[in-house]
Amino acid sequence: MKKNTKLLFLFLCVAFTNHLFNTAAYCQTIAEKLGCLECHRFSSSSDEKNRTAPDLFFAGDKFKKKWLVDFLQQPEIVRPGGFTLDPNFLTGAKIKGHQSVTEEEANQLADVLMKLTLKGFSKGIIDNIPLSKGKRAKSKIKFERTYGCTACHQAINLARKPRGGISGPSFINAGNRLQGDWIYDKLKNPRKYEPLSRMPIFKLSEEDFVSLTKYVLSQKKENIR
Amino acid sequence: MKKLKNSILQIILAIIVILALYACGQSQKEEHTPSPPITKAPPEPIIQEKLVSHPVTKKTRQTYQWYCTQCHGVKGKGDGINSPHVTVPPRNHTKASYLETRSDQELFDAISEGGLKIGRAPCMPSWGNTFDKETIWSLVRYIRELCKCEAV
Ligand code: HEC
Ligand code: HEC
Ligand code: HEC
Repeated sequence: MKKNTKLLFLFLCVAFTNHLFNTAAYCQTIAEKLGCLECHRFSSSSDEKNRTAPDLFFAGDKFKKKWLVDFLQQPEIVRPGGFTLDPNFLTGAKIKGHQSVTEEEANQLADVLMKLTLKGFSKGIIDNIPLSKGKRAKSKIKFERTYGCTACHQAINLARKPRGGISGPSFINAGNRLQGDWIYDKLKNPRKYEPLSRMPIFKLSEEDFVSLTKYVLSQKKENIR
Repeated sequence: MKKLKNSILQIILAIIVILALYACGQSQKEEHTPSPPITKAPPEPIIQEKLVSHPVTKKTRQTYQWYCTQCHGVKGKGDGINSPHVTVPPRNHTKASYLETRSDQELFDAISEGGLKIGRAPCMPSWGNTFDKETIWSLVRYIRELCKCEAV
């Protein structure tokens, strides 16, 4: 019986997402049952206060689905310095291990999450062509030196080791985790996705926005030695 | 032909390695010595006027606490959560002996343009697109409060 209601909710969720209702009401059910909503916002209209985890109401624009399915079963640490709104963030809050769910739940949740998208989000700006070797070397210098992104974000260095600051999310697996178009938009509008962002605003050339995005996308944990 | 290609590749690699040594957030710790103070003409009156008109307010302290502390630490001592992970340690804003050697304009430029543009480490990001000039001047004044010092 319990399982049936769960399935029914899932069906409703998938069926209605694109139609009559906004995702929030129905889709929250499985997330609600598993306790996800106690920490995350699945809808932009949820209470702003007491946010203890990253917002997920744009998860469908932000994440790659396969990563979500993997992460929810076998969580990896993304923010080594903790969540930026944690009251102990500046004094060295350590991130707690994320709760894990079964394969079936992970798939259901990933379906739900991939439906959470923002109106008017532009897709197709970042193509799938990776940076050429030369451009990659140039972008690495921009990432590490010109704009100092490494001071707050971990990335993989020449010796193939994770290196860099911990106040921002780690990029060592960003290529598997994030969608290019979202990285690009976040870089252009850091406050759109986190009104209380601690990241500086960068006014870059279009070329630099794209090449930094592709540099972030080139980071995959398989490349760590 | 192949040989030529190989040696070109090697040269490119060497350049990358050299450049990477100057990057921020690499593993090897470089000894960082600030360049000696440069003697400058006495500050122009316009700067004096700016100091008066940009007092440290509650907003200044909040701005410092929200952004700068990530690297400079909650008390400005250069011990923020990123500090063990960057090549060049974030400047200790309570250290009068160094900050006395910097003019207010130099501190303003460091915050506004970032470390690289003023001949300092790139791990100090540029904040000129994030805050207006008034806020940055008041941050300069706040750093003067932290070091209990003025430019000499
Ligand atoms: C106790 C609070 C808490 C609960 C409950 C919780 N999460 Fe999280 N979640 C977090 C925190 C904190 C992070 C950031 C982890 C990190 O960066 O390493 C996170 C990260 C995530 C991420 C990656 C987000 C990003 O931007 O990197 C996803 C996706 C996610 N959670 C989904 C879920 C789902 C689905 C559930 C329910 C099964 C859930 N979470 C339950 C606290 C929670
Ligand atoms: C002063 C520290 C700081 C610097 C410098 C910085 N960031 Fe960030 N960045 C953050 C923080 C903190 C976040 C977490 C969300 C927020 O606060 O906006 C973030 C989030 C991001 C995200 C979203 C990651 C995610 O998984 O949610 C991207 C992409 C990003 N930064 C790219 C960059 C790039 C590229 C640069 C260099 C041009 C850069 N950042 C420089 C602090 C920084
Ligand atoms: C990502 C880390 C980081 C953040 C965030 C950061 N700084 Fe820095 N800052 C540094 C580092 C590293 C140095 C040292 C540069 C050097 O000595 O070459 C520095 C140096 C400075 C200096 C001294 C420049 C000089 O003349 O030597 C000032 C002033 C300063 N920071 C102000 C600020 C203010 C104000 C903020 C917040 C708006 C801030 N910083 C945020 C890393 C950071």
